[in-house]
Amino acid sequence: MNWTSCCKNFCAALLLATALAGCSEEAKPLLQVGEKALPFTLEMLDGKTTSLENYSGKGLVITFMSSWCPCSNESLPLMKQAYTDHKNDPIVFLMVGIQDSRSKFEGFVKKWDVPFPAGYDKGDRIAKDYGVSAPPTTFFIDKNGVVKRAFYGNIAKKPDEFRQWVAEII
Amino acid sequence: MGGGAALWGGFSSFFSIWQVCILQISPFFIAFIVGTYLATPARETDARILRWIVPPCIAFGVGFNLFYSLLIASGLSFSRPLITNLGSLRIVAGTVILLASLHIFLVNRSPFLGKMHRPLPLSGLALLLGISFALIYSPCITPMLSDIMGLASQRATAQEGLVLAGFYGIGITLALCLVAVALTLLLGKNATALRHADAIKNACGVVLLALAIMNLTGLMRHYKAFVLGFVL
Repeated sequence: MNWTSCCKNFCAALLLATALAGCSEEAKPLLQVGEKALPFTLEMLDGKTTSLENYSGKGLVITFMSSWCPCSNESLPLMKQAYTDHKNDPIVFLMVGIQDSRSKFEGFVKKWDVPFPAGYDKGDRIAKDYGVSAPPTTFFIDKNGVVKRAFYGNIAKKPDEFRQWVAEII
Repeated sequence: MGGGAALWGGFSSFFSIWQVCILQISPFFIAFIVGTYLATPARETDARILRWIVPPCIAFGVGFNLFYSLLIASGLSFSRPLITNLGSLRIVAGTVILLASLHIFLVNRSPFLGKMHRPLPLSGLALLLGISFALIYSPCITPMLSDIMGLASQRATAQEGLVLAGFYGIGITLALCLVAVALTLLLGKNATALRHADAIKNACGVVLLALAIMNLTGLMRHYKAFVLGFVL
């Protein structure tokens, strides 16, 4: 078998694997704005676990971040400010560490003195369910568990929209 | 936003702070192209170099952009299994990168690999490498990519997002290939580098081997966390 045949066979195998994976995952819902958020269980940095049900009846801003990502670092001051502004409102801010080492993510949370709960998504399982391929990605979920908005990237570039989206889910 | 703007956005991101994120793939692709060139029998120092490295660059771009845009377009039902099975697909990608590194290591020692070291078969390998790099790459979300992902993540606008992500990806690969080709042309004219060609070629193989191991063992997240975090 020559090199070209090897490549052709590998491509065929890859496509077949993708197609088969597609069959097995067909039943999985696609997280979309306007639909119910997918349930999750997250291990928090303090060792406790939390899940989506814990936030029913409250708005939830869930943000997927990595310590090494410039946008995640730039987004945090605004996120912290929003948390302070809405401390007494029925809204929860939750940070999820993805595509990162646990120790670096813990250092990141410490460095920024993040005042709201943070957890580490081991194996990026929640990120996969939420269709998150890159940090930072933020979802705005209302008190009924419906995804009202999804934002990809540096939230600090859209401060007014961010405040409006937070207000929408209270 | 049009395709031209998206293409420019991807191209310019390569030469900006966003290179921090592209470091996940850029040194490894350059190692592949340089290693490929240094493994060529004659190591031509004129324009004939291009015959060896341009077709693999184009093939890499095709493979990379196809899967990069599909992974961005999470609103497409076809993309969903790719995203969900990314963990397994990254193992496959690691295996492909391992084969590429072995090729660079062994090409001058194995008559079979030596025979296969031609522009066309190399382009086949580069195509697979492009797909592999798209699978292992976690892009930083630039302001423009943010808008593209906003479109690509929703069913109603996913196709538009897919096309724009494709243009954005072409911009990145265009910049990546230009840098790799320029570096190879410079290397081809440098007598010292050519004197140590075997050592440099093997170093390129080591760089690719490191990437393969990181993807096969799950250490890639540590590369992102420590190396990219250090640069940042």
